[in-house]
Amino acid sequence: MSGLFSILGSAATALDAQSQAISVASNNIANVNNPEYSKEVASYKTLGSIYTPQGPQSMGITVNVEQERSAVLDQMVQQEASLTSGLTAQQNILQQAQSALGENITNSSTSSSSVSSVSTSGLSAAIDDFFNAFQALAANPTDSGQVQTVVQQAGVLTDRFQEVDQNLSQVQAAAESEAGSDVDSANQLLKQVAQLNKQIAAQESGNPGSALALRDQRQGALEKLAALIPISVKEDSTGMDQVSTTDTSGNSVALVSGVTVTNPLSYAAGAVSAGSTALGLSSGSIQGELSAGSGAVQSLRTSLDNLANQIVTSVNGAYNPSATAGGNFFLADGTTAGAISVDPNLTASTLVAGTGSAGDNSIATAVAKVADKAFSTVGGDLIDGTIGSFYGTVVSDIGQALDTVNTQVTDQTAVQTTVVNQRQSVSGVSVDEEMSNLMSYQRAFQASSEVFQVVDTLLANLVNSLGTVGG
Amino acid sequence: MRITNNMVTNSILGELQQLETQQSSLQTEVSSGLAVTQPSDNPSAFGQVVQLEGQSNETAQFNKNASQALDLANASYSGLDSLQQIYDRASQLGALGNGTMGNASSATYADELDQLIQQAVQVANTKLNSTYIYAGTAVDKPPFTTTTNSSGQIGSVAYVGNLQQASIALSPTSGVSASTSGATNQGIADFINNMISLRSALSAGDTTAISTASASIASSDDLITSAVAENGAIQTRIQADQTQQQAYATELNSLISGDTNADLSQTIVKLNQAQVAYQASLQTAASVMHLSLLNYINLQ
Repeated sequence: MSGLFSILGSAATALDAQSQAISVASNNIANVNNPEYSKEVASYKTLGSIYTPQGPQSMGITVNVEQERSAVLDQMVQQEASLTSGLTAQQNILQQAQSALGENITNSSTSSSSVSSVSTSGLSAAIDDFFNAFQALAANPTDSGQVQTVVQQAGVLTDRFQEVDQNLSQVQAAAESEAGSDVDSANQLLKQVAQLNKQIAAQESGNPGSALALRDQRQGALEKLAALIPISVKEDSTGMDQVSTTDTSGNSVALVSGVTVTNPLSYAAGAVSAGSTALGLSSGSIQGELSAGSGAVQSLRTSLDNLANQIVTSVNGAYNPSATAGGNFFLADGTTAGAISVDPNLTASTLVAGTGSAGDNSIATAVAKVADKAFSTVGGDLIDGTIGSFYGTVVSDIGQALDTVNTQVTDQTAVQTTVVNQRQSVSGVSVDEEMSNLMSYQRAFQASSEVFQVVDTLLANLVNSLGTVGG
Repeated sequence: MRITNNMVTNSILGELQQLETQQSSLQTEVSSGLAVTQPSDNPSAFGQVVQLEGQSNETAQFNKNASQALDLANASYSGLDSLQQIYDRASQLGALGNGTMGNASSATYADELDQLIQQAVQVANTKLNSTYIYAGTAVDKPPFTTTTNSSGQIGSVAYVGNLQQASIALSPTSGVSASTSGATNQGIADFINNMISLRSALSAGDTTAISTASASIASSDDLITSAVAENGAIQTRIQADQTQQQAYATELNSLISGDTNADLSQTIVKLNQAQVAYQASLQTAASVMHLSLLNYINLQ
């Protein structure tokens, strides 16, 4: 009667296999909302059959658990994450720079007219007010109130220049410090990847691709790393990921080789190095932070420095044409946006509107005319166009930089969503699918249990009833 | 394509986020009436607005300058007008003095003329906002100084102001000198000195001297008359300039509004569309996320 017992044996492997498949479904359902998780699939495999005197006997079945993971899609997700976070970092910094500039348009209704008009604020208003104060002084050179206004507006102008410059330098400092802390995070992630490589290699020895949860974790770590710096990843035969990035000439630089971090990252003076090699970053948040800080924000500061310098030079030239010592309006050394200041000798009592007689307004008129002078860098000036038009260009440049990045972020986010969805389509968990699987596993389990019942009844009949005829 | 749970939530959240952003920016546009509030909203329009706003502020200042110049021109005119009236009476007195016989009546005319001389000096030293208006640019001290003769009357008048004129800017390229010229101011002093001569002639009853002095007064008045005409021309020019500036300011404002103002009807339509899309998105999300196989199977 070896037949009945062998049925019990194969029914037992079936129960084992079904419960393992149920456990896979349960694990999948548990991770339905885990974005790092790759769907696991239970695939059945027969254990083969043997030939017995009673005929071929099946050895039962077993279950293999595999991950639905596509290396190509993983790589694409990494790349897109890197691009998105680089652009988002730029967007963030340019947004701060735009706020630091303090230029915005508000709707204001003036008391003199009921029509609402728009007005800008910030440095542009301070520049206008300053030159208009001189214009008013020229119209009324002996008015002590007007003199006070000029001194006051000059103070407002220099304060606003300094404030904007300080705000912008803080934005740059914040960008650099973020880049520094991102480098620290990247180093932690590299260590984590190396550690996970070690664990995966140990767990998978002789059974490649079996360390499923560890692989999910490693992929998660790699994507976080890709958001910081651009990486390329290659899996070796032992299941360990080789992580590398590129240097300034585009050559590959190894970051993680097997179980060791070969070249830890370091940050100094606006540049990132791996070991001793300077890196040429093309995406990732570190690149975004550094490029926005040293690019658009720095050029904004340079333009403001030039503007401040031109105002100081031209106003002093008009106010103190004979370059008398101590007779300047602005401090002659303060030729940057951060250093512009009114000459310490200048007060309401020393301010002059003209030369000679009290009613002479030649100096005030000359200073007021600086506002309308068209400068040219070709002619040796520091700016092009009038002060107002140059500043308009400066504001529009930073706005343009932010607007471009905003559009890029929107586009890039759409691309990233598509790629992530593509991967989710392959690796994601569908509750409907798991429920239908669960149902079929359950029915199979129930059927296999029924087999036990049948065999049990047969055996009971055999043992208790055989040979008891008439008994 | 195989659709999984994370994909559904990802795309629903993405859609909702996008629609909310759109709604929020449209809502801001409608409530503020401005399509551009930050440089990044429309960089070129913002740059344009900064420049136009600067020009608009400058124009407002030029307008104030023009009012200031007009005040000064008005004050100059009223002084010159008073001098004209003084001249009218002085020339009458000269004519009367020439026709009368007897020192007593001509001495009476001389007394009246003395009052007129004092009045003329007072007018010539008129102040506007604590500055002397017939002084060139030496506006901080009385431009006409007098000496007193032995009989306690004004013996002579000297112009101690200067010959310069302050120009008030009315536009980036043009300006106006609203005060009287140095020659006019000098002419006022001559006019008063001629009246003093007439007074002396009347006191002395010297008809030849009266005739000479009367002729001199008439010729120095010509200068004042031409100054009045010049003043009228200046006022006309300032007023024309103000009108032009107001038109320019209106044009600048409409340019600024064109760059920044939201097209309300269009924005409101867009906002409604975004709201409808948002509602639809919420509704479908609610029904899609609610449904799964779990609602229908009963595992036992």
